[in-house]
Amino acid sequence: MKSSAQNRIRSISYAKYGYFFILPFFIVYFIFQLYPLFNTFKLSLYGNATNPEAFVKLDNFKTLIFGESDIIASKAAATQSKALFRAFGNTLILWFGNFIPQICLSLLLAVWFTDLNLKIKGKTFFKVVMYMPNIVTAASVAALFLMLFSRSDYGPINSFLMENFGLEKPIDFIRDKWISRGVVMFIQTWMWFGNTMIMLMAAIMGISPSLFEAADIDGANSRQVFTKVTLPLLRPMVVYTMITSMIGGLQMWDIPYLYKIGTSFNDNIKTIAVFIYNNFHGMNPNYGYSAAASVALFILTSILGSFCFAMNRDKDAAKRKKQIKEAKKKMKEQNKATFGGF
Amino acid sequence: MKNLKKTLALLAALAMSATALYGCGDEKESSTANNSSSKVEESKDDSKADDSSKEDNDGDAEGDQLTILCWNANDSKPMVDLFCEKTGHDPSEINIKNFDCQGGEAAELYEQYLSEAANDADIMFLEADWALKFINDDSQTMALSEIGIDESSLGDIYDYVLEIGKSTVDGTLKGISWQAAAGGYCYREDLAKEYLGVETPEQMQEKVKDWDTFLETAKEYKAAKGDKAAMAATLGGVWQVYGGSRGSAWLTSDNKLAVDDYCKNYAEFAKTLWSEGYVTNVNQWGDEWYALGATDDVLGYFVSTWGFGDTILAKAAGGEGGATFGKWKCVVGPAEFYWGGTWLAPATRCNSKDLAKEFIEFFTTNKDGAEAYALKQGEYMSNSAVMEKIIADGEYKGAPVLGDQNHFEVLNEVAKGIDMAGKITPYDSTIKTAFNDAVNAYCEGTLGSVEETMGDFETRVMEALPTQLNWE
Repeated sequence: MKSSAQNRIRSISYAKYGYFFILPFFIVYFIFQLYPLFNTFKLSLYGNATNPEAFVKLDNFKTLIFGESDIIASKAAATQSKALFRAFGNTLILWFGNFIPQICLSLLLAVWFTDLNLKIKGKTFFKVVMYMPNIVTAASVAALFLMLFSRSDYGPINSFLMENFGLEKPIDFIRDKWISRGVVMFIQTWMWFGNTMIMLMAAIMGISPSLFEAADIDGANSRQVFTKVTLPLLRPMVVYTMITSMIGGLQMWDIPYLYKIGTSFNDNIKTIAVFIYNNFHGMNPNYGYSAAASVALFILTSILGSFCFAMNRDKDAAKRKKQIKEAKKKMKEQNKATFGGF
Repeated sequence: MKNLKKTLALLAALAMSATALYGCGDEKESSTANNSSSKVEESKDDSKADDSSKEDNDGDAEGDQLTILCWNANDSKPMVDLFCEKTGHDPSEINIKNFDCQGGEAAELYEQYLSEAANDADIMFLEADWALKFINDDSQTMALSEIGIDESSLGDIYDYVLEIGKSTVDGTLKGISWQAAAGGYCYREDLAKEYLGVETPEQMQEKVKDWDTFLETAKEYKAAKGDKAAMAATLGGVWQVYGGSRGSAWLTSDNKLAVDDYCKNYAEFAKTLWSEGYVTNVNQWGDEWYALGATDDVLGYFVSTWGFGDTILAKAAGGEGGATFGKWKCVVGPAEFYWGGTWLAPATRCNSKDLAKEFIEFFTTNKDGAEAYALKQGEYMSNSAVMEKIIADGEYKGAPVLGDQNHFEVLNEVAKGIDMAGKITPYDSTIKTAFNDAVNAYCEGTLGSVEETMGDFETRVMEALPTQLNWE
């Protein structure tokens, strides 16, 4: 027979301390993330500019998406909608333009750096150098590129081109439609390929070496190894990279916001996040449009994210799962038939 | 065990939603306090009543400081120092509430600060660009007459300074600046002599007396000098002058955007300057912009009162002993303009009215105070009598970057000529930015014609101010 004290001791649980430890995170999360998130939904139903307290129902969405409004002049509503879709187009262009070169480059480098047969010297050095741009803050990167790509006769790159290649007029790297987009894509690629490369390398190193050895013994060439062994096994990581990059890409704000002259924005690189920010801050804020655009972006990101996820799902695993389910069902029916009545 | 886990999960979920809801409720309360005017006004009315009763008793509220809202201490600190030194007030009576940010960001931070009814504010520093946001709002600023500054005592103040401090709703005077940020055209004396044969500032003024002559001179200068012969450093500088001298307001009386010949003429003019190389293609305020001043590539800069020191001209000239330091001269230029400046306005919740009055008067109507500050800081004051006295005394020799010219004489003329009556709207800075963006796109070749440029201008304003203007 145990004493009551013994019983008590046995029932002491340390689990509650765990909750105390994670409490600070949740407090901060609720105040600075969850609450603003709900508040954004709320704000998206309220008015703009001069009367932010007016409850306008879905008028902000109507204005932004369909270019019609019950409150403001139809001309003005159409302009808002146009501005949003232009920003959306810019966002997609800038994201594709940096994701595709980025994933190709990172994949190539990751395969090279993990290939034991290549024996590349100074691997760590390269890895560090390639990761470096990711450590530099976007503000510094933008300042650096703005200086390098200054559009005047005196800009470093322009004066170099003009002196050595006989360029007559300086190239407008900051305001020209496609050149400025190209520069932003380049900056994004340059900043993020190191990060993606490290993640892909980790995934490749996680693949059992015996598979590569077996492929070698079977006489596979390096291209076959890449397409038949590395790539299929790498898919989860590629999907992960793609989804995180897409979420990041749709929210791309820093470089497009900072890469401008003085206070005048380049409309060709204005992304949705910049649209949201500009509507929220500044002299004449439109909280309603800003919040409505945020909500639209949120929904869009969720849809695209799940689409990506579904597209890249492991089909074999899904099939197997389905088969197991069917087998179970069959079994049940059989059981029912056998023991029917009981 | 299983039950325990379930209970815990349920508890966690409850806690989560409870916190979320708690947050909502809490914020709602404060947001109503922020936004709905009734609550704020209520508390303000109370404080007003308090003030007046206190004033009846013993003037300043005891134990309360004069709180000055500003975005940096560059002006406020020397002002308070001088004020205390000359008037014998103790520095502890004044509290400088420094938000330490860019002037443009201050409006947002002021609003946040003032949304808390308990936060004290007596005098606010306002930038011309967004001053009307507060001046037009009776719950934020009050008339100067309410703290005892009568408009009739402001006869010596330059007209335009008072014009900008007036509410566009009912015309009451609510703000006043101690500065007059009039500007002029500063040019390189040696280059002008070599290529234009100009000997004196008077002759130079003849060459740039209006925009047509300015363009003629630019042509002449380029023909004489050849390559890299910019008349002004940037289009941005030209715009400060051109934009500051518009004959009418940017909005019509029925709150519509006024697009007229003035806008079209500027677009054409800017395009000519840009494509002919009469202005350089560097960015205003960039390093290259400053560096230009030490080269022979540019003839002049448009400079405002505050720009004769390190903010623009002295830095561009390479600092003291720099390549072109002392080789500059200043003239009125094609049009009178002002560029920047800081306005002082009493906050509605001001509870040290006497001290606020004394402080504002010290730098404006108080001739000794204004003169002392002008001489101490080299600042161009808004009191014309004081500036004329300083010019007449001849003790002040002008900015060293100009050699031996006293630019105060030039600026006095400019400041008198600025006419802003009826030309100010609350959205000027937004509209001007949009206009500039459109014109820049036209210069760069993105937009094909002036008509297209005006359309683009309208679209940009519509995008920024969808509800504020009349778009029917």
